[in-house]
Amino acid sequence: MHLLEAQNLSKCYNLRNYQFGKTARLEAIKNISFTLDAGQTLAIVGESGSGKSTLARQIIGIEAPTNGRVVFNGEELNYKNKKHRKLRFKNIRMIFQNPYESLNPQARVGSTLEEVLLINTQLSAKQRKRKIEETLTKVGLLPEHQYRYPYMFSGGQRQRIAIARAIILDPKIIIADEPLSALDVSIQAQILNLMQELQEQMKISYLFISHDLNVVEHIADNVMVMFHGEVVELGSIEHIYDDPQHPYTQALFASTPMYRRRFPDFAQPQFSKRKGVGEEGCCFAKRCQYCQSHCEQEAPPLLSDQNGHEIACFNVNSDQKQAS
Amino acid sequence: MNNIPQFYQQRRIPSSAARWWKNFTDNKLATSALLLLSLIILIAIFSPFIAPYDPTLQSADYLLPPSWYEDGTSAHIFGTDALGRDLFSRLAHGAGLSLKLATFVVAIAASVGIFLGSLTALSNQFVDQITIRIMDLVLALPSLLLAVVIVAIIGPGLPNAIYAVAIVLIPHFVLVTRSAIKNEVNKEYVTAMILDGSGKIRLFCKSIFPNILPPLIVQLTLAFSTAILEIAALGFLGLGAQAPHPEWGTILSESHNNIVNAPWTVTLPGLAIFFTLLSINLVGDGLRDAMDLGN
Amino acid sequence: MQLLRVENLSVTYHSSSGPLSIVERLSLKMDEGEILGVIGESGSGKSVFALSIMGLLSTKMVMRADYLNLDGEDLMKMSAMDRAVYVASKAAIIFQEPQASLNPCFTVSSQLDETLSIHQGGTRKNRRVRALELLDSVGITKPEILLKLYPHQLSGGMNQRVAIAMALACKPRLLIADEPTTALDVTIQAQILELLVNLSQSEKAGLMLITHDFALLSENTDRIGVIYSGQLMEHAATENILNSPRHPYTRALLDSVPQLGDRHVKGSRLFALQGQIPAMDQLPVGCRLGPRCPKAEKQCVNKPELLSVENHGKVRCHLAKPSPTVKKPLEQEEQ
Repeated sequence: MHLLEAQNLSKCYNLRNYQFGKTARLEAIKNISFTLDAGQTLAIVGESGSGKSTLARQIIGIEAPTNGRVVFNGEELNYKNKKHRKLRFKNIRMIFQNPYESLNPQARVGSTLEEVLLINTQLSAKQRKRKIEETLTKVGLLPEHQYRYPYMFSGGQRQRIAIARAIILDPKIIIADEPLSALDVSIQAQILNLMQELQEQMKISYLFISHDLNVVEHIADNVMVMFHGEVVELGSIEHIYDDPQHPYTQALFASTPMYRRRFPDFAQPQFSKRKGVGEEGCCFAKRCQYCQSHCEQEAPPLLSDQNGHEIACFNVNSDQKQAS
Repeated sequence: MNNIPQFYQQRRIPSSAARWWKNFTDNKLATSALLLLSLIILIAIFSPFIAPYDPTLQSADYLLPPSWYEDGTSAHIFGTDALGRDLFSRLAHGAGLSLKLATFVVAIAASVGIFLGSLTALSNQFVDQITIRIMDLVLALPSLLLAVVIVAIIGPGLPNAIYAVAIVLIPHFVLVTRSAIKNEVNKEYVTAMILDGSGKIRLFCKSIFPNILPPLIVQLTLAFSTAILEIAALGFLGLGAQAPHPEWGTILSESHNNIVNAPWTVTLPGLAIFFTLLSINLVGDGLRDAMDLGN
Repeated sequence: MQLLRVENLSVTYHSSSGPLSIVERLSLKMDEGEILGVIGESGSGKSVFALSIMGLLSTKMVMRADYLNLDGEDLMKMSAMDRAVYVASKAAIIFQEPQASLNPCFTVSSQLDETLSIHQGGTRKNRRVRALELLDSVGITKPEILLKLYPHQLSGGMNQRVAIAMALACKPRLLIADEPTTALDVTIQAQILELLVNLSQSEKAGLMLITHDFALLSENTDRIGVIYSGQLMEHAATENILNSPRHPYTRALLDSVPQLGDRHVKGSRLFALQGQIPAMDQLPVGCRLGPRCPKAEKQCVNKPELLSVENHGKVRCHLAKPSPTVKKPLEQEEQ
């Protein structure tokens, strides 16, 4: 049994157009399924607007998905059900991208952390204080930091506080939405190390959202590549980083200087968008170098090869069929 | 991971309020305004003890000039008005009356306004839009005119004037509260607190309210000065406090006939209103700056 | 020929609690057609350095320099007005946020036209032709359509291209790009970078790439300067910096990024500098990296100077022995 399972998650937003009666529908994510096991890290890679954060919001339960189910520990989590919500908030925690915005500026660090315990546990005041001090030490801060306000900390320290807030309930899963991108390079390494250390200590699973391919290669066990709200490739780190198949994944590698050395043959995406590709076509067809006529008319299904490496591309999938 | 070099440890971590206070006192102009305001408040509170005469006591020494005039006497430092009442006593009592009324007005307006504002901000689009349109409607009329209209409907007199001014002030509070909350609810730390499993009331008290406090405090000071001005204006027009009451607006209206032969009877109450409003507004500005820096 | 020569440039910020030195005695040289990488973390003063060359500092900051030569003229000897005109004709800067550097109220065409009318004048028709040329040179396929659009109608990558086109309008000899790709998506980043490099090569203009990301600099730059806390820590040819960095900070920056093929292994950790970047009003005594440096020694409480190291470049560290006479400690280290 998987720890977390997302089944065919979709989310549509109704956009108000401020023209009378007209509303547009935006399909932020389409039909996304994946699994996450205990102690594992699943990285979600994609550009801005690819629906990474929307997916995180459905899993964590800020929004109800339009379609699909989130299953935690074999139990489906209903968005409205109070018991499920409590279970979800306790076991799935989140680290936000910007540590300058995710902490209440008017609350001392200790009281932010204490709120979490007050709401979710039955601990006494003394136990709460001990737990807060323990957690702060665990993330590399000092117990006396609980009396400070967020503005007194640097970005890296704030991200440590955010991590402390996430781990204080001993969760099973942490969703980290670009936890490093607001930090400096030398601080990024600190936070990355801390996250790995906590994972090994506490057997936490990470859903690690990032656009940074090096970091993902360093931390992830499985990688899911998203483009325009759809999964284009999903597989283990070896699948994706040794043998990327989907043209978009290849384009990502080709755009990153470090990986251009490993994959010198991969083509960068077309800069100009191809015209006349309808909604029903492949999501990457507009920018794909290998786009063929049927790519523009039909969306390729996400198919798995015998090793569990899933790719949504006609070219790749038909090659494999011929090979097998 | 415990060997991270720590920066200098402060002994005591100042609270937000303490920080605001420090920023405020760094501002010289605002601090002097606060001193002036405290002086006015002290005079207002202790007016029964400071004032040498009963504010309504009439005497034969009518239109006596202030003590710094050649024919003034030290018995009446600010002189007397047309009915021989001691002007200083009247102004001191008037300060007490004005501040008391303004506090009362602001208290009503703020509590209703903040409550309504929070309610609109957190309710659905429909309720929100309706409330906002009503508030816009109220704001579209000049506030004094509206107060006059309200008094004209419910009848002149001090209590009615107070209600009128309070009603006029409510929309400002509603709008300020609403926009502050709307700003706040989309911030990430509010989302983070929802994810901590926090209920709505806790969320509001712990996360949203402390962060909308700065604009509300500034709005409070603004409303306070508006209230003083409007109450005085209604008094001047004879719609608020009635004749023998030592209310600043009423004093002005009683003596404006004497502006040529006894200018002090008009100037001094005018200056009292002016300095009170000036100090309140400067304090408000200072607070705004102090709290913006804090964030 | 030498394009830019900066000697001992310092920038001081006059804060309410006293003057703070943001950039301290920074010296750099750039040749024509050279691509110089400047790398540093946030708050290191790298952007302020770029702004000070352009003369765009805020009034609270004061710049001083022994010598600031841009394309053969000493800027420090000019009056403020002359300097502004001269710099505007010789150098251009591109910022991190393309949306922020374009005026949202005007179309691309009117903004480009204004820049062009300042720099080269000519009739409206000529300017339009030139604008189309510029847009074409930054890789925009249908410039006629783009001219009519407003910045908010364009994507980040498109906006950055327009910003580059505007920067090119004065035919700059020096192009400063301050984190030009940070706000963009990965796939767009590569395109923009390639565009900048190609433009500087074809025009033989100097390009100063300011960034916090070594990966961007590794392929394109000729030399790299590493800035930490307002000081130039190391300044050398790109291959020297990447292959054998002499300064512990450079080493740490390189090591703190996961390397190619560095997979998730239990217990494996990245190298990380401990602690925080010091605040400008709480700088440590001696070497600014001192408290965070993994190799710090007793002598590091003395201020290190930026000294030449043979076959390498310039390094500001006590441990990188400069003169050939004191080679011993290096050999000892190698043992």
